[in-house]
Order: sequence, then C-alpha cells, then structure tokens
Amino acid sequence: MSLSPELREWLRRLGAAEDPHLEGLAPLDEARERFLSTEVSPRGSRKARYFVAAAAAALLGLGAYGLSALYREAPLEARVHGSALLAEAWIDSRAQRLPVAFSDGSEVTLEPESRARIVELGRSGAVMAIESGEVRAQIVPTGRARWRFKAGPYTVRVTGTEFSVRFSPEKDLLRLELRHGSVVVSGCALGEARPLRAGEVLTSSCHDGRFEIARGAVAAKAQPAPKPAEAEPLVPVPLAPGPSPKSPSTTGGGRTPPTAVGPAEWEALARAGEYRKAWARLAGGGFEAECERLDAERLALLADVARFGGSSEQALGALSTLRRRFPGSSAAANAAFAIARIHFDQRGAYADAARWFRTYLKEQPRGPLAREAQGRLMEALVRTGSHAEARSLAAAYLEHNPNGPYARLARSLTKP
Amino acid sequence: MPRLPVSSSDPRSVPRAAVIPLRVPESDAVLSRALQAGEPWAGAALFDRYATHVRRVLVRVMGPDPEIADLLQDVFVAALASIDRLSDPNALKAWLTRTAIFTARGRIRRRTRWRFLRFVGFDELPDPAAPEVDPEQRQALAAVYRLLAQLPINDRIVFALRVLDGMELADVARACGISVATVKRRVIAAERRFTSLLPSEPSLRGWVKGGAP
Repeated sequence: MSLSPELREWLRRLGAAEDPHLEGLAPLDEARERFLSTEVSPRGSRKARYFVAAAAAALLGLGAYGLSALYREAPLEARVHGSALLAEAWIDSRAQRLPVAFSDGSEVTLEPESRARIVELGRSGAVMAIESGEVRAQIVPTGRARWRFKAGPYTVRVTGTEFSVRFSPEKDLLRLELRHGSVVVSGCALGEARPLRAGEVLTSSCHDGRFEIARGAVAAKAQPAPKPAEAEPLVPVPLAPGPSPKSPSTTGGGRTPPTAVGPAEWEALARAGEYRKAWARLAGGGFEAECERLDAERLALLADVARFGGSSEQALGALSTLRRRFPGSSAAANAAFAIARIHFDQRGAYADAARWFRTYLKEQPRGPLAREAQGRLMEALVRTGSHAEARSLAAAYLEHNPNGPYARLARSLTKP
Repeated sequence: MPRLPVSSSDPRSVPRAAVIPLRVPESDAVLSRALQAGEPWAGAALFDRYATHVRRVLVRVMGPDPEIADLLQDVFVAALASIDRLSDPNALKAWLTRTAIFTARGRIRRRTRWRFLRFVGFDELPDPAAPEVDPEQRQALAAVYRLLAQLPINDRIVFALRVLDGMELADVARACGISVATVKRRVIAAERRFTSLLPSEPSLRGWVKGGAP
C-alpha cells in the first residue's frame, strides 16, 4: 500500500519544519576548518583512501573507553558574576561593562549598552550573536577552539585570539579591531572568508557594499582592559527589555510609580539567574501586587521569573499588565514579542504567536527584534497554513535580510 | 556611530588603509574552473556556497546523526579529489548532491557491515541535529527515521529525497545516478514497506489506515 496523500503531505511538512533549524548548527564551522586544512589531491585520492582506512583502524584501536569518553565531554559553561547562563540567554549590559566568563578560560565582555545572545555552547567553543553594541573577546587558544560571533549578516570565526567587534544593526555596520591572533570574517560585502591578522581593523558597511581593512591601526598587543564594574549582578535577560540610557525609565510617559521599588528578594534571585528560586519566593502570594507596583523593566523581569519558573500563564499575565500600564513604550513592544514567543515556543499556539509578532512589528518596525519577529512570524504563518501571507512576508524578508537566519525558509516559500 | 572612513574616490581620507572593491560572487562555472585549476580561494568558496545544501541532503538521508559533520567534510574532500571528472561546470550543486548521497550510502553500508563492533548505541549519542525543533516534531522525525533505517538502503535514499525533501523525480534520478523509472519503482517499494512498518511506531500509529497522528 502506498502513502495516503495526507501522510505524504505530513511527511513533507515534517521535513520542511526541520530546515530552519539546520541553519544554526555548529558543526558546519568545524567541518569547514577541517576541510580547508585537508590537503586534497586528485591523484592522491586512492592514497587518501588507504590513509582513511589506516586512520579508521587506529580509531577502532582506541576502544570503547576512548569513544565513550569523547562523547561524554561536557560543553562549555558560561557565567556572569558567578551565575550560569541559560542556553539561548539574552544578555543586556545596560549601563555597565558586563564580562561573561567561559569554562575554558575565555572571556567575552559586553561594553555598556550592548546586547548579545548565546546561541550555542559547544564542547570546544560557543556561538554568540551580537545584536547591537560592542563586545571584547579574549579567546583562549586551546588548539581545538571553535568560536563564532555572528553580527547581523557577518560571521567572525575564531580559534584563539583577542579582538573587539562593534555592530550597528540599524546601519549594518561592522567594526572589528584585532589585537592578537587571527580571525576569519565573512558575510555581506566581505563575501567568502576574509582573514584578518593582528593589528588590523576591519570596517564594513553592508549598506554601501564596501569594506576597509586598515593595517597597523590598532596596537597589536592588547592594553589591559579596565576592571569591569563589580556592582549589581545583571544576568541573563531572555525577555526583559533594557532601559534606554537617555531615559532611565522605559515607562511610557512617566507612568512609573514615583517611589522606586526596593530590590525584593525574588528580584535579587532573578538577577542572579535563579529563576526557580525567585518563583518559589513569589509563590506564597504577591505576584499580582508586584505586577501593579513595579516599573516596566522590573515587570519584564518578573515575567521572566514566571516564564522560567514554570508558569507561562502568569508570565503572560505579567506581560499583559506591562502592556496595559505602559502603552506605547519600547518595553510594551518587547512584551508583545515575549508574549508571541511564549505562544510559539511553550504553547504551540501559532495563530496567537503570529498575532503578537505582528503587534511587535507594528509597534517597532525597525526595532532590535524586528528581524527575529519577521522570521518567527513567517514560521508561525507556515504552521497555521497561511501560505499566501507567509510568501509575501518571505519576499520582504529576503529583500532586507538575504543572509538572515530565516533566509532559507523564506527562499523555500518564494520558490515558484 | 561615525561615518565609515571609506571612499574609493578619495583614498587620502583613509591613511594606511586598503580599500578593497566589492567582489562579485563567482558563477558555478567560474568556481568549477578555479577548483580544477587549484586556485587557493576556491575550496573555501565551494564550501561556503554549498555546505548548507550538502548538510541538508545528508540529514535527509542519514537522519539526525552524530557523524553529519564528519560526513560533510568527507563529501567536500571527495568532491574536490574528483573535480577533474566534473564534465558540466555549471552543475556543481548536482555534483555535490550526488557525492553527498554516495558518501552517505557508503557510511550506512559500513555501519551495517560493522554493526557488531559498535561501541556506543546510536540512540545514546547526542543528537546534534535540529536542537530547536519542538519536542513533538522531533519525536515524530525520530520515529520516521527509525522506520527509514529498516528500509533497503537504496529505497531509503529515494524515499528521503522524494518524500521528506520534496525533490523532483528527475532531480532524485540525477542525484542517485539512476533513471526516473528506477526512482519511481524504488519510491513505490519504499512507500509500501514504510506503510507496513507504521504500526511498529506508537507515535505514528494514527496514520495506519489513512488516519492522522
């Protein structure tokens, strides 16, 4: 018996749903570097086969212990002020410098007013996305370090080095200062891999389709970086928006209660990344009262506590309250994005997710999460069967983000 | 953010700087010739252009597999080693697809042959593919790939490309190096076998007799 048309269609959709998630897998970089470091000769292919056979035999000789040990090797850990970061954590440095320490000894410091995301923690490196602002990285050369920093359409591949990279998403502008070691940068005007050496400064504008490499423009030996502020620990802010430096309260026209709320116990735990403990402190009561009392930034933090503490229902409640109390603010728009994510990721309610992604885009068409919102909206539309709308969104997405994380999905939708 | 100090019309404004013009992406034909000529930049360009596509083909054929990254490297090494045999310089993508399928098939065959020497159960290995796919989909995909693993290897490959990936018959034929008629025959055989195996997977039982999960 052959497949029913429904089963065939379901299988096809199952395969297609996997596609967008293949984009961000880490092994591509490792395979690339290994491939580029392999000497390939057309006449040597037979010899290579013998070599591979010999290597395979040697590998077999390693035995079960060696193999299982390899697979048991743990991925890196990332910490801010001693608190472990969640995978997919958003990090917002706000007004201070914020160092992220990795278990291999590497350190990535976000300069003030910078936002980044840990995309993946691998066994020999991590993938970080710089959403905006500047990060300084000191990657320990372990011999097998594999790190990637993504900034809009650009990718910086690192094996062991020290550099700073600044990215402006509004202008698609990248500036990279390499102090030590070497990196390979790709994307946009840079095309395929563009190696940089110590002392070089790369400036690239996607918009103008140009880039510049200035040699000797930066001291090849790094200056010791100033000590970061020890003050308040500020950790993973997966959803919470950061206040603007120029307007310390993102309160939508001064709607914050005039008396600042003192740091409650749950808040200290939340800022240390202890969401479950923070949620346990709130479980005895007081959640609703806090929703009505807190300023926008803390209310978003409270929503994170509910979300990661295990109650998407109350996270949605906190975010809805935020939108009601601070309408028109950037915090309210970010809350719309957060609501959409909860519907999408935790509830599988794709129609609701689409509605809230649209709300975010309407309120912040050029906001820092706009590209992500467009991509997620596209995916939500596909899942609800709204293919015509998804196609039209895909065309717009590709026009502005030909190398964006959802470009493959968009291309598959616009294919005739 | 200050303006970019880049101006090809006034290079004096950028002391000690090299202004490099935007490079036009090479066509497949140019890239093929560069690969055959051993141009140093061509290998990286080939990988950057087609790695995502090749990985997708490998994942389709192999399923979520811890060795995808190794296979990916093998595909490009094999393709480069035999680049002199590429007759149509515009057909790089098809060439790589075919190489990917042959490489994956070789790996599956080797695994079958050396199964008795397997140290760690494949189910115990980390699942590097599709980490963000939602759990229900992931479970369904895993069930589908478990069934595919029970199909004869050639049937499994055409089923994965035709049904899961949605490739056209002619493209599947080209990728596998067989005729369209053979593809059709294998798809029919694979679908029959796949359907007969459906009851063995609890999460797919709903599809038995035309139902839904």
